[in-house]
Amino acid sequence: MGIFRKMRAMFHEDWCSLCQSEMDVMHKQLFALPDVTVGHYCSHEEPGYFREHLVPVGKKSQIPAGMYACGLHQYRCPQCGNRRTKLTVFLPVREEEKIEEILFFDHGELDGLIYQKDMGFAGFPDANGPDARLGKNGGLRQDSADRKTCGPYGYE
Amino acid sequence: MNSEPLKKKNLLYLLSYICVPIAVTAVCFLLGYLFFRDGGMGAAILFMVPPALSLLWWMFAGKMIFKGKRKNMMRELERSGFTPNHTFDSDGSTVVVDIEHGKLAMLFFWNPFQSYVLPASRISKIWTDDGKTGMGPLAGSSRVSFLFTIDGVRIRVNTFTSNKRWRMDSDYILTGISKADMMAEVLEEAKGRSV
Repeated sequence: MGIFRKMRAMFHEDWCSLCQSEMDVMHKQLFALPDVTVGHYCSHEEPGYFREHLVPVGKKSQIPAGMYACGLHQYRCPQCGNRRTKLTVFLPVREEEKIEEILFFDHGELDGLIYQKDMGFAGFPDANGPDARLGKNGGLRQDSADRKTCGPYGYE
Repeated sequence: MNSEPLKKKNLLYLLSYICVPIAVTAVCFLLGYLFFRDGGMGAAILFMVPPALSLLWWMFAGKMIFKGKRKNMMRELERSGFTPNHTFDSDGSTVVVDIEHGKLAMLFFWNPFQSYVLPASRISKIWTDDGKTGMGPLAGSSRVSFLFTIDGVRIRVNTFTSNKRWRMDSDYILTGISKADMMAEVLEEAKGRSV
């Protein structure tokens, strides 16, 4: 395998890390993350957290505003059979997506979510449904406005 | 619940907040001029302390009064059986929504001695303002807010403010829009449940 292909593979997340072939997308699924809302994001890397908290949804419009979402892509290498799962955690904002982090799982840690998908989308209230905003326990939420004050040379 | 019309500003409070320190400082200057013409400790105190205290008052007192009153309001709401399902604190107001009972509580920065608890059915219009100006690649915003009207009074609650204009796809603006959209949905739902 050429050294250049190996280098290029570093920048292609859908290329196999073992044989540098382009992998096929086996599954794609959108999930809502009802426990995480805008302004309250904290990073999680444990697959157990996602297995417990992700709820499959059919389309983005089912996710209420301010609620985080995850896009799951499962790749499989047609050459060596290597599998890789990509989980993109993002905040859907109208047509835009504010991406928080992209996680990779190489040992089938999130396979349970893909099988759960086949069970349908019964677990999540619709964005326009009566209980979409109350959460599971009719929870109490607190948010506040943000203020960003920049100096004369405050660039980011 | 309050049935009186909504008042975002208490003019007496606003004027006294601005004018009382000025008046006190002026009186102190006058006393200093009349009684300590030759200088000394008295003159130093009368000429330096009131302006410094006035500045501190203008900078911090409003926020402290508002915070204190907000705490009081939350305690009172809890006692009255109001469920604060969603609370949003902004620089100019606090909005508390009881989605289950379709109620809304509000406190304004410039009217902190009067909190309002209203049925959400009194809201006539709810919308989000992303503050977008400019076109194409020059589009940007420095303020995002959600707005609603109650009895014809328009209430704007900022979710993001800045002294700089940000691109519409910047994290600050997207977060502000998301918060504003979320609160608009919360208010819509409370309105839908209100009797």
